[in-house]
Amino acid sequence: MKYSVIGLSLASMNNRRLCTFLCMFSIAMSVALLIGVQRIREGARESFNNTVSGTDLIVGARTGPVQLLLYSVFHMGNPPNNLSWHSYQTFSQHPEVAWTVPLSLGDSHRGFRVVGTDEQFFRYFRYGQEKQPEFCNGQRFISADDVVIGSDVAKKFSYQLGMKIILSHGISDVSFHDHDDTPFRVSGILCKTGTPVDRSLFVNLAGLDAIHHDMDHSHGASSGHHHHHHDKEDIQPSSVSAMLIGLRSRTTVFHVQREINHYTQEALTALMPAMTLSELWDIIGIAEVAMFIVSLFVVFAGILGMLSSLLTTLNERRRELAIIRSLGASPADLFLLLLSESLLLGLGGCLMGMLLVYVALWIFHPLAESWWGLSIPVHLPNMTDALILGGVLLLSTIAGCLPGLKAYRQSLSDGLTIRI
Amino acid sequence: MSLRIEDLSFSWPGQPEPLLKCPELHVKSGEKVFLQGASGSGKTTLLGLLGGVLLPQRGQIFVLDTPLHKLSAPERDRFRADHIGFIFQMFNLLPYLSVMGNVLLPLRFSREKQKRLQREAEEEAQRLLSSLGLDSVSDRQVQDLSVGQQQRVAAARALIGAPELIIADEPTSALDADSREAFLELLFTEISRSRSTLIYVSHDPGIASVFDRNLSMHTFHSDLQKDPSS
Ligand SMILES: Nc1ncnc2c1ncn2[C@@H]1O[C@H](COP(=O)(O)OP(=O)(O)OP(=O)(O)O)[C@@H](O)[C@H]1O
Ligand SMILES: [Mg+2]
Repeated sequence: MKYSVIGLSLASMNNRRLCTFLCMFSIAMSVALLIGVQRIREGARESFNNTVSGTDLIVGARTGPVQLLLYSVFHMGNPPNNLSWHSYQTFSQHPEVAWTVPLSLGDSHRGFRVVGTDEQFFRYFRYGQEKQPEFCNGQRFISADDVVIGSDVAKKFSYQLGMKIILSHGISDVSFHDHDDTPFRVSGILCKTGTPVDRSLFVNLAGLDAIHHDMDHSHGASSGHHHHHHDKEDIQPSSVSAMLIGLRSRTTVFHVQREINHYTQEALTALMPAMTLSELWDIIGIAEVAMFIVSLFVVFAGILGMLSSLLTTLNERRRELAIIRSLGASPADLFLLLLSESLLLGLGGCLMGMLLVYVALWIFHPLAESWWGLSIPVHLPNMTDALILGGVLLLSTIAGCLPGLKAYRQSLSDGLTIRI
Repeated sequence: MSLRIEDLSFSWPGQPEPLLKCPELHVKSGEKVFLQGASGSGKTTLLGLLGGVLLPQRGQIFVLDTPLHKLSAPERDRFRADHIGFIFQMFNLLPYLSVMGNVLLPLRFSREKQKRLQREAEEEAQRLLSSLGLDSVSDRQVQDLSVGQQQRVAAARALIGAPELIIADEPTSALDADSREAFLELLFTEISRSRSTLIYVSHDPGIASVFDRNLSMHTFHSDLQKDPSS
């Protein structure tokens, strides 16, 4: 009996093919959206948390870890204080430390940040799954007036290898301290990484100090003559904004962190990137939650659409239900008939939605990677997907109770009277 | 005895007066009964009571010696599926099934009817369709049939599995006189074959003569005996 009822609902749905398809499709779209958003969330979180990888500690002058992370990694805001060259030297010679990378911020080029560093950066900096920034063109800086530019910078201004560009002190777009006398030559262009590296320019620490030196000089000797020719290589930086540290062994990270935080000669902060990144994500991740909630509502809308179309057809199907009733179906069977229809619609919608997700992933996975450097994970349906699909099925079952109940009550009150 | 009604009273919710009142009615097995009544006299309602879809407020209904009024709702549904075949006035068929699918439909709901088949279900359906003059339509969509053809398909559906009781609710009211006669003739042949009882209601007295017995809906509007308890 139950089996025959399901067979009938299949045949009836097949008869209303277009309506069935549209219902399923609207559920499929909402399921695909929800799962797609979920995948993008996963990917965004993953790539955010991997903005820096392979670095065990980031050290700067004493400040909050989130602020330190923001200026050292995302180049947002300014360092409240610098880290003395002396301290930098001390920790780079620390027995547990394998490598260090100096970062000196505070300069810009047409709105993009300039990072003073040294060749260690290209050797040790990692993002994503232990990926190294690669050169699409040219190579790392060699002389003090070489500059390496990120892919967004190169794209925005159509910079080519060998072009001369001017860096300015300060971070505003319109700087009063342009230094036409110290042009830098583009020696390398990095490939897209999907991290703040794309929006940065990298110069030799010594070269950066040369700008400052030059500037101080010109301001200090406003009435005198200018010294345009420095031997840039000679200049030792007096301080840097932050340093990246790689340890010989991960296990000593807490130990070294504590040591730096308690360093007596200078007030310093050391943070573990992964931890602070996920802290930061919890703050800015509100947006992804909002996106998730919006797509939840789209699912509700899809199910409501199905419900309204089932309820509409119910009036046209009153005759059909009376006939089935005369054949011996009980009111409960009619309830089951309509319930199974919405369950089947939900099931079809879920399957179609998953199909849409994988088709979309297949198309957009490479594009998202190259446009935004965002790697959307492609994997078999996981626990979250199963929960989403289960939730949609549950919702469509609950929704199906309404037309089912209506059919049940109709069949009780109609008897065998066939109403049109 | 195929049908026995005693002391019956039924009214729809909200009706002040009982729509149907019948002190006593007996129908023998194999009888073909014509029940004539005006529109609104409660014919369809009565058939709902006989089919166990409705329950009387008072009285007893025995169909095939089974006390319908004592069965639970699922038992009455089961009983209807196993022992009764229905033919309605118009639009009897499910539009999304083929002709064959419609004829086989009652078998989906009743193992009893399946058991009574003497051959393969499809063969039997085909035989019924042929004997009702519908040789070549079994794979057609039901919308493509004429109204007369549709009613004959409905008859084949009521007859399959040889139920003991066939209930027809004005099956010929949409047909012209010629096809009405042809329909009745074919129906009677098949009913005699399966020795089923037929209850046939209509407001049209013109066809009454071909039945074994004629009843009027007045039978169901007579006053009941006094309640024995009072
Ligand atoms: N499902 C129902 N709920 C409430 N009242 C009903 C219902 N079905 C029928 N009635 C009422 O019962 C009365 C008899 O209806 P019924 O359909 O049994 O008449 P009928 O003799 O079959 O008429 P017709 O020849 O037009 O088919 C009518 O007054 C109708 O309003
Ligand atoms: Mg009627």
